[in-house]
Amino acid sequence: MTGPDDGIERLRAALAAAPAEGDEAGKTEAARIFDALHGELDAEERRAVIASIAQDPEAAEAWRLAHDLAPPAEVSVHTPAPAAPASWRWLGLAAGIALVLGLAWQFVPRPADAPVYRGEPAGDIASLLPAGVPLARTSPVLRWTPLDGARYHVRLFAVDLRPLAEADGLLTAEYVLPPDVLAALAPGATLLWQVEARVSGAEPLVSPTFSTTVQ
Amino acid sequence: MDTHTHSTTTQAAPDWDALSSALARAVRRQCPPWLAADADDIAQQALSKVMRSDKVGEGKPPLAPFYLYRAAHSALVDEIRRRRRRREVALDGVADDDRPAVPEPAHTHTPESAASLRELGAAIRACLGGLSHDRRLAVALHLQGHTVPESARLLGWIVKRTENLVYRGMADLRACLLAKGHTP
Repeated sequence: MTGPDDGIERLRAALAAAPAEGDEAGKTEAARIFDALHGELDAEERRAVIASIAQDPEAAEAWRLAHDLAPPAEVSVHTPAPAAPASWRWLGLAAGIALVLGLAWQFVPRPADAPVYRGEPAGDIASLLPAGVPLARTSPVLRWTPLDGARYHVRLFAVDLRPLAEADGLLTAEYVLPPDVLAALAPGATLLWQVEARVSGAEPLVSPTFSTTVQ
Repeated sequence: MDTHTHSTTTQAAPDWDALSSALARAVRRQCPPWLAADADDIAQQALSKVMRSDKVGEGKPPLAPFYLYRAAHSALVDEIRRRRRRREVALDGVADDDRPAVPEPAHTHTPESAASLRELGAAIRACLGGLSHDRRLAVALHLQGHTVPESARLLGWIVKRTENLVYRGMADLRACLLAKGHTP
């Protein structure tokens, strides 16, 4: 039986060598391709870009270039605590709330039919939102690292710990903010969110509390 | 993104040398030999375009790395597409400007094997078009060199489903190539 990777390098080289033809060549904007790989497109938009790389050699080439040109992480500079300006006061509050949320989560009732045999799900949950980039109102999607076979429970809070939204049973590692929740957030508002991943046969895995600024 | 009590995020001044090197390296790795040979020149052209743009200049705050790299990528793609169009015109015998015709590439394949590879590539693309939508997306990323977990994240699917789609999609692709007379 032929495996999926037999001769794959030859197929990749051949695909890269295929000439661009037809009206579709070069139609997909480079910036959109870059955003699909590194930015804030939602899953549906990303899939549309990926569909274009299947048909257009120039889009595929731009995709490979974008993959090689992953932007470096931004520089985080630590500053002395006492001199923090007044506008940063909420950060202290947010950190405290994050701690409370983390503790409170441990006391959330678990389903009675939790599996008897338990293991550790592989990996941690990390936010996949670009650091330092506000959540776009046109594409308000929270994303995190997926776990194989997991269902996700997401909770959103304002910085004053007011629950904003909750969703359970998500099959993909992303959550689109409902329009009414988004509308209630002022420009520049901070959103706290946390994800719990449940994988059959494993203990639920709870993420840190993430903090995101809304555009 | 994460909550840091006493930290903030700032943008350092762009490291143009590092960006230029990254652009040239990407061209050498991802472009055909006739373009890769001019990688440094292409990178410099792209970088010049970014530096001339309105958002980068003295007295202006530096772009965040994300936006800088995105602008550089767009400029790079523009430059590559411009050179490709110019070469196509030059090979047809009609230059579109006063520049010298683009030289023929130094082939690493014989003309026959290069033609065979291009034919196979065109057949792959045609076969991809015949796959079911989800298999086509999974195989497209697989052929770009992405791992299954990377593809799953990009497509917003769970890993098991993505793996299954890659496996079945590659089987469909090979069957299609065989039917077209290619040995996959």
